[in-house]
Amino acid sequence: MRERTLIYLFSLIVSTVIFADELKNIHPQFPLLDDKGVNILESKLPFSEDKTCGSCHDVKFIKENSTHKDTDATCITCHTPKGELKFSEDSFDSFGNLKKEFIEISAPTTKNCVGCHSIYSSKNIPLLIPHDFSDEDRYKLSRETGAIFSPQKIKDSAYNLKGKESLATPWDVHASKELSCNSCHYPHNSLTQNRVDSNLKHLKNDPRKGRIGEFLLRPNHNLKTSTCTDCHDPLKTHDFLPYKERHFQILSCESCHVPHVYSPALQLKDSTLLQKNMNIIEYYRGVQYSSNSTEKNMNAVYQEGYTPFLLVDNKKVKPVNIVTEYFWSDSDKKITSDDLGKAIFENGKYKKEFISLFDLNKNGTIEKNELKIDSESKKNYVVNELKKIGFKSPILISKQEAFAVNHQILRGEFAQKECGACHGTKGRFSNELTLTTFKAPIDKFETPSQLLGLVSKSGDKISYKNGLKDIYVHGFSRNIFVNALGPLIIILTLFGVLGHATIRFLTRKKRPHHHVKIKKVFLYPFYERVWHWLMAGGVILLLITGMAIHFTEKDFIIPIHIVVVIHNTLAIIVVINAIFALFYYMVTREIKQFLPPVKSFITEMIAQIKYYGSGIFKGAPHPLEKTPQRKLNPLQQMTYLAVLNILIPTQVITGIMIWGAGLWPEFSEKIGGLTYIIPIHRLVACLFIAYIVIHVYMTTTGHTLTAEIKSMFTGYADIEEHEEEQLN
Amino acid sequence: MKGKKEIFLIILSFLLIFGIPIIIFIPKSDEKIDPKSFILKKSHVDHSSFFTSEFKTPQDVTIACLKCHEDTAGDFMKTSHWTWHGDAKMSGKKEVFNNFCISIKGNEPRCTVCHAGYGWKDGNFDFSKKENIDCLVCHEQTGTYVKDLAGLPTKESNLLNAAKSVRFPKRDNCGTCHYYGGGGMGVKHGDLDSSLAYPTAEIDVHMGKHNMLCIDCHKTTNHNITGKSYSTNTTPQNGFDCTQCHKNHKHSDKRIDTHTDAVACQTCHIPTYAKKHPTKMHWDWSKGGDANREEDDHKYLRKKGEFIYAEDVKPQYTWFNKHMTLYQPLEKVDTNKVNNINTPQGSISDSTAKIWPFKIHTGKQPYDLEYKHLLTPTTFGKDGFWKIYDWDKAARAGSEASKIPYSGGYGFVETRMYWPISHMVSLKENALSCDSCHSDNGVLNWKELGYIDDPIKIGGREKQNLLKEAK
Repeated sequence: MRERTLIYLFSLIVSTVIFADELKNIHPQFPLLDDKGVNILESKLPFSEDKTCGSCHDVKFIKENSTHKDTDATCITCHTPKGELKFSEDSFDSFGNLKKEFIEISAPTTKNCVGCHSIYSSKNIPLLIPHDFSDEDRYKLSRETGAIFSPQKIKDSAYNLKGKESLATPWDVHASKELSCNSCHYPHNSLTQNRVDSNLKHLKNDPRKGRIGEFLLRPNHNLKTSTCTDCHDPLKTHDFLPYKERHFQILSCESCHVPHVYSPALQLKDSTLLQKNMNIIEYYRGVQYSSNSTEKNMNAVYQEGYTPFLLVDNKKVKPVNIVTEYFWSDSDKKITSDDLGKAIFENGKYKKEFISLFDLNKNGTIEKNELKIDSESKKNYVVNELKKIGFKSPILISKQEAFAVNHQILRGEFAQKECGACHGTKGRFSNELTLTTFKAPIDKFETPSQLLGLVSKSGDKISYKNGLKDIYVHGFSRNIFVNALGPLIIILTLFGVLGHATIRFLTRKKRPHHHVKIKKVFLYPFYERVWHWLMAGGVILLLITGMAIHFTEKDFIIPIHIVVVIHNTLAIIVVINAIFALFYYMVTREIKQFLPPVKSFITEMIAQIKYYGSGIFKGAPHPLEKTPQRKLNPLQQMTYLAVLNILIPTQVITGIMIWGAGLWPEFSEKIGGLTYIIPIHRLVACLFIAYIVIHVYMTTTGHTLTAEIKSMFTGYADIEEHEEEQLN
Repeated sequence: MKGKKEIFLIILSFLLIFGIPIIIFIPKSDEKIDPKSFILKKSHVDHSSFFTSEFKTPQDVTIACLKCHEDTAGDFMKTSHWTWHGDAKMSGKKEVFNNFCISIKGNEPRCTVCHAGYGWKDGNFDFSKKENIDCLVCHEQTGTYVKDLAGLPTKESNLLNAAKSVRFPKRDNCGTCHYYGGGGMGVKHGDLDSSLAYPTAEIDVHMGKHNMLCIDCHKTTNHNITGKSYSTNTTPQNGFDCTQCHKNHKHSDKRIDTHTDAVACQTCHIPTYAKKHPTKMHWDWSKGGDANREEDDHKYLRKKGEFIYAEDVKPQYTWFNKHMTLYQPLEKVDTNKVNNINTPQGSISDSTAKIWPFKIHTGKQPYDLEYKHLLTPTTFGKDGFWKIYDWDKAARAGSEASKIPYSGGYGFVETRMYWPISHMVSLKENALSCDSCHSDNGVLNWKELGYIDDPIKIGGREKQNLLKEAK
């Protein structure tokens, strides 16, 4: 598209067709001017970019409005293929202009950007970790996160990477699809980007762009940082993923599309000591250090890469690398390596006492693996040396910094797709990220607020041990309160029921066996039986599937995303069943069965409690016999009212909130989000289990153990015939 | 209880009430047609008990076969494996020129080592004799049956054992000829060589990863084997496509599907050919005959001249609508350019043409200085170049056999052959990707293909208005 627009516009200007090949040399000819604006052919002075480029472009504006304003980058660095303008005396035409073939000015390419930012290799040259990888300024992006923006397949790289042969994916999918850095990082007033400011939701395109001349005069070099959704609409794909909206609301795209980083990234920058060459000591993630390894042969060292840590920042999960730095500080000022060098070096060599203290294998030299302040005595030595050269009270500080992982994006097939990768106790949220390779006697931590509470006290690990604070991840998150209370209710119920049953069993022979007349009464009409068993089946299946969702890490027979669908479908069936039943009871006026009698309620209830508490063991008759007019005893009425009016509505409402969390986030956010709603749903589920246990147990209290259950199948209940109620 | 029937009904209705909604709501994955379902199951009857006594001649074996397989001879004798005829008048191995061993005319006994028959030693072979069909070369499984001059088996070949072992053809049966075309392993095709006998998945995904046989794709009915060699044929008739099994294939990235009307499957899925063993890329007959030059199978042979071999070669790409024109005998050659022995038809403006990968084999071969047509020198036999190293005599002998006139003056002209690549399909992760073509140093030369510029930038051939309206 971009080239197309350019072609169109330029063909108007030049009124000749310009092919893409010539685009490389599309920039018009120009003279090279010196500081004073005089052609350097006359003045023989070095050429000035401000004057040369400034004769057409507003260089002052560009330099002030540039992401690269505080760097050494010049126009030439980014806009020529090799970052230089080569010319000699023969390079000029008769007008004093630079000849066309010496002008290779174009928009920056990936190669321009990676020259200062990261490791790179074109498709055909196997990628190597450069020997100067520790150069802070040259490979910043790669060092911080491991980012490599290259079209090369990872398996074709040259370094010693674990499982490389199966990684037939490019380092970055965008790089392999012919995107360059400036596809996402483009000038704010770029004409070739059709994207609309995200606040203008009613607009798909904004034709009120500047003209090409205006853009060329003042291109705003504050480069945009595009997000994935600027180009992609994740909702239109990802059909395999349940709850798309919810997932995209919580997860940044990179969380799944950068499941693993296959290149080394900084883990620990230790500037408390210096190597022989006065460099600080650095440790990289995924690199297996052996005692003789040096950073210069990083390609030979066995590497595994690392799995980024999923940091929850502002209720959004994003993958980060966390870099720790150990350094000395004196009265809030970092001690530079020059000063540190003065403290521990003498004539370019380590001081003698230093060697005697740090040379663990006593071979007279200090290897890299010996350069660690891992004890108080070593620390005190350096502190004293620092004090000797004038520092007052140096302290050792450990500082963490999180760097977002935004590059090295993999295509869908290589992205994280298994539900268990997050939903489960062995997933990525339970992964600990090791922060440091050794523990140092730290005096002070400087942990950024977003990492507070996650970094372990000794500062060597970061983890979600205490659960996620702001989001609820099915299968991983646990609410301590519900975790304790739920099972407690179930266990107590089981104990109660078992105890009651035991007493009934032990007292079975003491009970008088009097013959009672049994009379068959038609108690439960067909529809009552249908809704009852539908409800029973539905709720039990709901409980089973619910548990499968909760304990995701225990492999259920059916894949978890299908279990979720089954759970939801069952819920719909159960709700429809409940509505039909309610309708039935309303129109038949049978609803009165559930309403306790106002006058005699208390006395009846006491009688019923007395019966279950003692009468049942002695063989006393049921205090309230079932009749078609009065099927439920007051305890039942109480229980059913609670179940129908509290438990079921709570479960339905919380269930809908969980289901719709992605669709209508406001709805669930009103009561604190899923972190609260899901535990409520779980607690009520536990109450349902308890209810079912009691309910089933109570059916055995009929005149025989199975009489009540049978009656719920046949509709006919055997009812003891005895004299008028004594209590009445 | 009213009986089992009622209980059954109750359970059934419960299953339906819960089951139907669940089945409706469960997300369904796109139905994909499994290409493996198109592989036919092959059966085999053990023939070892059918034959007991030694066979005197190979023809006796054929007669024994035909006793039961009565109609087979008639079917087989219609196929090009027997007739060496192509699909046009002057086509097929029997008639065409190539720039390897040039022509079979006058060289029959050597070339017909690979004829599925017995005794084709000169121009007078009788194509109607059933007993001369060679059943064994395709069906025997001992691996000890070896053909020699005029297609007759070597003395060492044990006919009885070979006859007992017959079953459906395996890769080695086909490979015994097709790996060795052009006079040596891997010479001709580039995508067919002995590495396909036991290939790795990287060499060929079908035969390596899935252990498929030739006949799994080259489906055969009544001995008519589908598939097409465009060095000897002119139309796709009786050929087949990848889509024979990969029906309605959709790529996981929809952008790739927009390529399929202009790019053949092979183009992306066979990024290189001759992956393991080198193949001949250039054959210069004019240098042959030098007795003083050091011989090397892959560089120079006195009999054959000078060669260039290459391994793991990137194909060359051109438009191809699966029609070829073949060099016709007596057709004039132009000594100032490279003459095509076969020319792929189609161009960017032809909507049925796609960009195909080719092995392009170039060579220098004898032509008549006066008549300006290609000659058919005899290389094999007593008057052959390989014996006497005299091009004049070889051309004279060849002219008698082929009836192509020879004026007495010969020279060497540059020729080119196009071999479409269809085997050695790579694993999908090794297929070409966007940047393989749409980048500065891509494998396609857009301007040579007829595009104004890279279609990713200005649209494909439709948007560039390069397609002619289909008639």
